[in-house]
Order: sequence, then C-alpha cells, then structure tokens
Amino acid sequence: MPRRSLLFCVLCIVGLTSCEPAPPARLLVFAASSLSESMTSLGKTFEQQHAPVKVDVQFAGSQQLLAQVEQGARPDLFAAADLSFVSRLGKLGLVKESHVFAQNQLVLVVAKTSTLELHAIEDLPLARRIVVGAKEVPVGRYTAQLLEAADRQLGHDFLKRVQSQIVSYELNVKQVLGKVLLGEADAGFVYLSDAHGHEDQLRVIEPNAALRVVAQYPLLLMQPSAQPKLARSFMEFVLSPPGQQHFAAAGLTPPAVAAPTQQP
Amino acid sequence: MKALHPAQSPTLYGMSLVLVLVLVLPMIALITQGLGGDALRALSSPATLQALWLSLSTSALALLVVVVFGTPLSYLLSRSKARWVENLQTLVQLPVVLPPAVAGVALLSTFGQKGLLGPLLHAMELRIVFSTAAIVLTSVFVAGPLYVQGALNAFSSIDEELLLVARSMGAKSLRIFWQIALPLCRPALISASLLCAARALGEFGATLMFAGNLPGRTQTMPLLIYTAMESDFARARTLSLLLLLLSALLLALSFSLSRKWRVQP
Repeated sequence: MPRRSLLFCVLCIVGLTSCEPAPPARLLVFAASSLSESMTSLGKTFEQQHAPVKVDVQFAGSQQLLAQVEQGARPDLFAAADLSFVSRLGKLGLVKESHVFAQNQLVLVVAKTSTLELHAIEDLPLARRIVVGAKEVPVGRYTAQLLEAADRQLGHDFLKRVQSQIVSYELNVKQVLGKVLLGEADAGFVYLSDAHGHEDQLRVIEPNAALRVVAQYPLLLMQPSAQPKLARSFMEFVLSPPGQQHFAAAGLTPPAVAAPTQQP
Repeated sequence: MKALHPAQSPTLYGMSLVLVLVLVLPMIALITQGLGGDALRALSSPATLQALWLSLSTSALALLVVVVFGTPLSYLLSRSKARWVENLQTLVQLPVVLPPAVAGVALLSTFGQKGLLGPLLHAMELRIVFSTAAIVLTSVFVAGPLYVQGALNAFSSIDEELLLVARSMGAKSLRIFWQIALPLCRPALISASLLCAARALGEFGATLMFAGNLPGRTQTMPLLIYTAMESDFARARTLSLLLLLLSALLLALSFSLSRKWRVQP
C-alpha cells in the first residue's frame, strides 16, 4: 500500500535521526486522558524493567483515539474509558484480547473559590456556569446518564434547569477539570481520579449510591502489532499488583472482578 | 517543441511538484471523500446551520472591529520611521505566528476570572469566557494582524510627496487620511479584510480553550467539525468541505483584488 510505505519512510527518517544505531523496541500505547498520571508513571516503570524498551503513551479523549484507530492508526495497546470500544474495535478484527483493568467514578467538582452553596448533586441548578463533557465522548455520556437518573429521582425539571446552566461541552475530561480549576466554571463532572491531587482547590462531591456512575476501563491488546510479546507483557504488568498500584495512586479503583471482558 | 523558459528546469519542476502535492492532495481528498454518504443531511442539519451562522456573524463582527481600529493603526504605523514604531509593528504581528494553544492560554490569562483583567471584569459584572464575545475577541486577536499587515503595506506604498502636496495645499491630517490615503488603498484594504475574515472563520484552537463549546453560543463551524469527528468522521469531512469552499472563495477574492490593485499605476 503506497500510503503505508510513505508513512514507513517518514518513520524511518524520524527513527534514523533520533535514535542510536540499534533502535530499541517501542510500544505505542493509546490511553484515555483520565489516565494521564497513572499511565505515565506505569509506562516509566515498565521501561525501567524492560530497558532499553521505549513506551510511547499517547493521551487524548478516548473517542478521539478511537477515531484515529478507525482511520488507520495502529497502537499496540489501547486503554480506553469506555467498555463499548471493545466490541466496536472487535468487529473490525483489531482486538486480540481485552481486560477491564480499572474503574473510575463520576464526581461533581466545585471550585473552592466558589461562594455558591453547592454541597450535593441536587444543589446543581444553583450553579451559574456548569461545564460537562460532550455527549460524543465517554465522560459526557456518563454525565448524561447521571443527570438523567438524578432527574428521575429529584423531579422538578432538574435536568432542564441544569442544562440551561451548562456553558460548554468539552471534548475531554481534562478540559472540564481545567475550566473548573481556572474558576471559569462553578462546577463540572469529572472522574474521581481527575480530582485526585487537586483537593486543595476543589470540593469533590460524590453522588449517592443511587446516582453512582462507574466507568469501566478496558485495556485492549491490539492486533496486528509489531511487538506482540512485549505488548502482552505490558498488559500483564497493567493487571499485576505492582501495575495496579499506579492506578490506585491516581485515585482509580481496581475492577470489580478481574476477568476478561466478553470476547467480541 | 517550444524551448523552455530559462527558469523552467525539469529539476525545479520536480521539486516544486513535491510541495504542491503535499499542499493540494489533502484538499482533493476532502472534495472527493466529503461528498459521499449523507452529505446533504449533514449540511442542512440545524446544528450545521446554527454553527455556520455563528461563524459568519462572529467573523463579520471581528472584521468590523479590526477594520475600524486597525485602519488608523496601520496608517500611523506606515507613516512613521521611528524605531519604536518598528518594534510596535513586530509586536502587533506576533499573534499571527503564535501557536493556537498559546493564544488560548494568553486570552484566558487576560480575560479569565483569575486573569489580568479578571478583577476589573468582575467589578463590571462581565463574563467573557464561554460567551459569544469571546469568539469575536479571539478572532480579532488571531486574525487582526493579517489585516493590519495588508493595510500597512498598502499605506506604505503611497507616495509621501502626494501627502506632502496635500498638506501644503492646506489639507488637515484627518482629511488627507479620508480623502487621499483611504481611496487610494481601498482595493488593498478590502483584499486584506477578506484574508482576515478567512482566518477568523477558520479559528479553532484558541476559541476552543477560551470560548468553550456550546451549540448556538460558542460552537462555531471548526468546533462543530471537531465535535463531529468524535462520533461521525464522514460528517466531519462533509462539514470540512463546506468550510474549505468558503475559505477558498474568500482567498480567491482577496487575491484577485490585490492583483488588480497592483497592476494599477
């Protein structure tokens, strides 16, 4: 395929100019932006254990990464924030194996500088500027799910009143977080792991049990891969207790049952 | 066979072709692939029309601001040779080469709640971020310099003697600007305006960071395309094609005007 060979040439040139004579094996990992802290530290640890292996982790919104894969990008592994990606990419024959490796919970974050009396989800209509994820991306879908459940539970046009205060539909969770941290938004919905480490600037409001929305993170072992063995050992490291520590440290919770996801 | 012009060597042709391909192929791809599928539905959906209207109206508003305040600025800059004026020229051109992310951060640092003007805006109960005004402001910031540069070049080409003669005949400075400089440069100013409008229409990165993404209020065409790309690549491609055609139209108009202006004595 001419397009692929052109890409190959470009990669060769980049490789030749940036590497020592024997280029070390490289793993390309796509990861949801909510994993940026945990996957970065995990990748570094894996590099140390498998020197001179290099792990390139590319962070973006899950949906954007999915679009890139569907348009021909070929990462060795894909850590997504949405379980439905497993079957979606499985149908294209790109998934060799997949496991849920972490869970995250959707929480409401409120800037500490905000003077609003926002203490629970039901106070949300008080907020003047709410920022959420767009419905096109996982965090936005989870948010819509939570707000709809809250609407059923609370009534009184809760959903409508909240929607009228939404000022932006961001395309990844870090953008939502950023707008709240900057004080531009009063409140936003992010994953618990995103709020982790910002407790000095944010109040984190966990929804009650009935409104809890849990995001499952699958790790997809992709095929074809230039480094199938290395990719598998990366996956095994992610699922191992030392690997899991990186996610726990970032505020993610371990999967309910450490079982393979349904095969596509 | 006709002999080649001295400038036309096959090697030069070959090398030029490489760049032409890189520049033109993506556009050909958009045209050939953007029309497939539900092109008509993607183009006529309410979300598209809303975003298109928002893009056109904010670009027009930004252009108005730029022309009103940028024309006097360019004229003054063109008529002075002082050192600090040259430095000011560089400074006002800077936004053109600024990476969009830098522009976004800079605008947030200026007009945000915790920004330079934050306390002032707060006292005036003005919220810029997440408002339609933020789009206009972003467009003025990133596209304004294009107009200023074009206008400056035009004003600089006016023969100084012409202005001196007018002055010696008793014309006031403002009248010289209105009745001599402006009419002389009109085609060039329009050409620069179109270029500025095209850039404003395409503004994306800084807008996303500074104005947010809310359909009807801050979701312009480029933001709609980016949002569509998350779920429906074909739709994103069709919308991109629409924006490509609009930009091409503005650019072609701008170029034909500036060419016409140049051949005049």
